[in-house]
Amino acid sequence: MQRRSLRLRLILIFGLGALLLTVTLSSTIYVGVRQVLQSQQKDTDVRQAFDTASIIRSTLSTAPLALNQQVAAIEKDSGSTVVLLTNGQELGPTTSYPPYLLTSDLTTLVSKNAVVTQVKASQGTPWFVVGIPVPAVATQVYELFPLTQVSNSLRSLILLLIVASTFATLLGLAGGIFLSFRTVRPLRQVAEAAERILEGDLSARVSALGAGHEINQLSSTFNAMVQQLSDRLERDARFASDVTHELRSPLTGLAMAASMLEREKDVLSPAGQESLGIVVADLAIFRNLVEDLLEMARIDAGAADYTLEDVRAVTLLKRCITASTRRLASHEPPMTIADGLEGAVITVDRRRFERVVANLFDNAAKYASGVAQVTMSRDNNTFVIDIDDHGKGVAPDQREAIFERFYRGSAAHDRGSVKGTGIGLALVREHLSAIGGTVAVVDSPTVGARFRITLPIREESA
Amino acid sequence: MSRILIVEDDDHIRSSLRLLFEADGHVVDEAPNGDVALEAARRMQPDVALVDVMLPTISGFETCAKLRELGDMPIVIVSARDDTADVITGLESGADDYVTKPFNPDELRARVRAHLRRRPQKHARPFMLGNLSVAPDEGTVRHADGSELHLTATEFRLLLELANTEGKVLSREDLLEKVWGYDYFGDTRLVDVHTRRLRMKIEPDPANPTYLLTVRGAGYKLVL
Repeated sequence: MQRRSLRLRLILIFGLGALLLTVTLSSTIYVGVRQVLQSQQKDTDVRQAFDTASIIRSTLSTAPLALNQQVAAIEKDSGSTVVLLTNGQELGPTTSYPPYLLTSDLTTLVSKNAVVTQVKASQGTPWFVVGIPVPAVATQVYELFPLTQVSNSLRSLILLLIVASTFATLLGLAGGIFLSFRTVRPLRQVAEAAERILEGDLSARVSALGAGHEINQLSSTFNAMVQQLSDRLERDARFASDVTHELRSPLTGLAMAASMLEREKDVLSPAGQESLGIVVADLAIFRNLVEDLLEMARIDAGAADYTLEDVRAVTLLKRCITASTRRLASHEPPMTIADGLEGAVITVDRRRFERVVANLFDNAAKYASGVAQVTMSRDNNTFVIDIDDHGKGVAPDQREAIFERFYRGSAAHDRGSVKGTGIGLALVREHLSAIGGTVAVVDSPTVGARFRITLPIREESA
Repeated sequence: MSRILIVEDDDHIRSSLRLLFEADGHVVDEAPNGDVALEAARRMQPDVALVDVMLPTISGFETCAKLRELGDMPIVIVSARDDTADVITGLESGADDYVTKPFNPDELRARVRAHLRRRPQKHARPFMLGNLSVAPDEGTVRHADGSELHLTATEFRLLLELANTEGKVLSREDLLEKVWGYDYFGDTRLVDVHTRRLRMKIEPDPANPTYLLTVRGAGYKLVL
């Protein structure tokens, strides 16, 4: 919940904003309308009360007997209640009204010849009370108007405002959804393009979105950046390829000249022969280093084109092991092959896979007195190769580090004639991950290290 | 003793290649560019040509194509580039094989030896391939009217190896070993490009082959 999505936040902000706005507006409208309605009603009521007072006065002075009839007629006409007080005594017909509407404060004021108006609530119904003194007949006329009509209007208004507020809030939410789509969609497009680029598809671009200046600027800047990146990568790839040529040519001449010299070795002095031996050995190391570095450069530049073929895993691995042991002039290690593996087919670049096995065997020869055992097995649809060596194993905290480029572990310090480029294992990992495989140092039942390669099995061939 | 033409603009590499093959008892002609190479090829009739890709004046690929017009000697491209596109272009332009720099000298000698070697063919009897008559001992393929269909040495060997198996499938690796003398880690693109070229010559409709068939996931076979 800490990081709500941008879309949700936009929608919430718009919804809440609309709600707040409409509630404020509605309250203002309500208060204003109520005031207007009530003051209009009071004006009418006061006029009505004065009319009533004048009728009462003329009735009392000319035809007191018709009083009850007159009062009943007025009450019927205006829907009010008329109360007449003479010397604190109620005059005329007894009407039922909430007695506390006529407070003593009120009657005292009116009896002192003041016209008084007052709003009083009784059982939820507001009453407007107008008190008018009629000194000519020594009477106070009180007319009590229930404000129910205003309340009814206001109730309708409240209902209307609630409906309008709800509608406006929903509209705000809809606006939020719409805007968030408009804002987030381009962002999502950019994110998707970036993801594709991350996966190596440098042709990914963001299309013109037409969603406002800032977003368009974002997409064009993004596209320009990707273009620059892909240009740069292309340059790097070309550079790697050119450098390849520049480095390989002198190496080729050197290697051939050295091999010619080796044939003529016999005519050299012992010192010359020893020097030649060093030249030939270092040349081989140098050649490996250059090839490994170039391969790494090609991979980094995305210029390593893998020639993928479906091959039988067991056959391939046996051939690779034969090639590696022959090159190292060592014996083939014992091999254990689980039942039912002969038909397993994997998709690999054969020559690069051969480098993978060669690098692991070279590594074992350099640091661990060679490979002790090779085990092939399967785990569901995964071909698993375990290569055990004769060494002292790899400490758990170094097991990932040894696959880093130019890693120099503790083994490197006491390695006399051991010569490595420091990127052999890094290349092993790169090559394997390019074909969907993995490599790791896992726990071994022996003291030596166990390198485990896994590769997806494509299919079974008969 | 064979005659080897070396086309290479880098003096050092050219000289060391000459020394390497002279030590094996071959006669070496050197050419620093494609023009000299074509001239030398016309005069000297080399048994095998080694051609660098990056050449001044005319490119290595073009040199290959023109050398190919002169005859069916094996042509080996020697290149510092090994991108798929380069390899395919080289082979399409008529080369029989390619070697990547820096190569192991012994490896290169083995390659050249493989191309110079004429292996005895088990399938020595002449056979028919549709309207084409193939005579292994003469090294010729003729149309029904007696005119000759020209195949390079490598194409001819590929055809005979496929004919030898009598309709059974040969994997790419098998063909690499039998035709080019490679071990398991040779480049199967060699087989694919040469098969395609052979089809262009022997199939009535190369797009829908009826003799040289691809068996998906297994290799190739020849239906007589």
